[in-house]
Amino acid sequence: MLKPQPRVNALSKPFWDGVNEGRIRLQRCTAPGCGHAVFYPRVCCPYCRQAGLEWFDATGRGRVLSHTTIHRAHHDGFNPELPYVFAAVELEEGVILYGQLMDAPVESQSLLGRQVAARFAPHGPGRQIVMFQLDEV
Amino acid sequence: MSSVFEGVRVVGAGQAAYAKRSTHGVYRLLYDAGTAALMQAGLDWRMVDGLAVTSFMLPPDNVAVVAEHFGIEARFLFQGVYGGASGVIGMAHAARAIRDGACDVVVVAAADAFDVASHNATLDHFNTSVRDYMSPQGFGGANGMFALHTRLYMERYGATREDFGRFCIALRANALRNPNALFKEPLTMDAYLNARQIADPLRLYDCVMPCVGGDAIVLVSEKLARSLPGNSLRILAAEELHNFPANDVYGLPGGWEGFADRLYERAGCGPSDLQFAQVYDDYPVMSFVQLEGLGLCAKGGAARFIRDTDITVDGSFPVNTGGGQLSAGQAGASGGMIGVVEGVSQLLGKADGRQVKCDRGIVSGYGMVAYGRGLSSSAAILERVR
Repeated sequence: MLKPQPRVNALSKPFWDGVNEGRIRLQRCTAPGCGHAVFYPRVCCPYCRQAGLEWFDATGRGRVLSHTTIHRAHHDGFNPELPYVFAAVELEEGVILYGQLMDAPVESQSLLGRQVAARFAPHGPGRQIVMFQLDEV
Repeated sequence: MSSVFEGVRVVGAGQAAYAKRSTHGVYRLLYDAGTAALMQAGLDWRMVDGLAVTSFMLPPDNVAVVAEHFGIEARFLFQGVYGGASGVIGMAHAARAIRDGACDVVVVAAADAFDVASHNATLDHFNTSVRDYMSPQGFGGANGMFALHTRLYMERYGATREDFGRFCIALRANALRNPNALFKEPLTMDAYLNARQIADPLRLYDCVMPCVGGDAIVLVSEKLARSLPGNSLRILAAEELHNFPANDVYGLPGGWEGFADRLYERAGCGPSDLQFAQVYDDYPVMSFVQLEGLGLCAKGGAARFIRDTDITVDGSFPVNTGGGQLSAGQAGASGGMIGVVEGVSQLLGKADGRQVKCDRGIVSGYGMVAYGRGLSSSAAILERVR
């Protein structure tokens, strides 16, 4: 069964095109003295509210902010993968992305603060999605 | 000091029958709840000239269509778009409308008819950031989203599964005294700890059961309240705060911390002057954060507070005296009204079988989950008029 697909629009297209190319593209505020990285895609910087935002390539590296092992999926498309680990990841650029932690242990143990790198997996017709992989410790 | 809601009284509260499944739709539930609240006050629908309605399943209709459906010529309408924060916010907006003379009798109501599948389908498309950046990534619904907060809270403050269990068990004890609560059996720590896994560290009894139900209260002008037979309440203060703190998804304060000082200052009382709290309990962790944010215990101290305080109806500081959503059921947006109805019932002296001796209490709301957290927080302090 097809998993839920994002609805791509003019605002989010640079991000999703990047994902399909195996890159994580984020917005960055161009206002002097601000410069925050921004995600999800916005029309203005949510820190200084100026409209100047430019796209750039993120490193794809980050750390686990929190995580959960999903035993009951919110959508039947995920049922074949249960249980799996889902995480909130803070990228080095300071933004939060969500994704599955590939090959992570599903039993209850803390992975907070662990370093991760972005990976890209097939998700639907013409669509890749961001996942994350734990660094070896 | 005079309340910003001077001239306004809350005079009734009521519920539609809660059910796991029902053929009743939103209109029937809103009507049943509103009728119960009006009857308690000694009023009827013919007097109503304002509505504040919150319901996820109401679209494509809206509150103006509800007025049409019920045949109300409304001078004031409000539709809550803040999920579980909407109950308190709708009450506050209704109170301002009455205070300003716009209308005299407002029914503030919420209702939904959910099961697990329709609940998930709603949340999947709750807003664009969830739809595009959480759901396709496999977030596990609200359960997964709040599992992230629960793990973070446990690590940050040293709370344990047993601490959340104590909270859920106390709420269940309260629910057993509420005939409209859907859970009818006591909850044991063993059953709580070993329940079916949902989204680690959350198990079944950490998660609300989507259900069918409706909740309503009635607000009137003070002048009209004087002609009614029953007790009435005043709203000492009410606050709302959204997207607080901005750009900080995992700070764990919620908005309550951002307005608590202002709330108590405006109410002219403090946490120690309250005899109960009705907090939004979609997940125990958010109730913990509310107890802390509202100053009822220290920041990070909710686990200890729950260990040291009997929060059942018979206890020293009762919390969610009707069992809350966790033990009564979550009828969608009604989850943001169930605590308001319980708080009003308690202060009106109408909480049969679970009445707390009280003059003053606090109710709080939380809702509109977006990119990893609920955006909207609300709370109000209510006082019995002597």
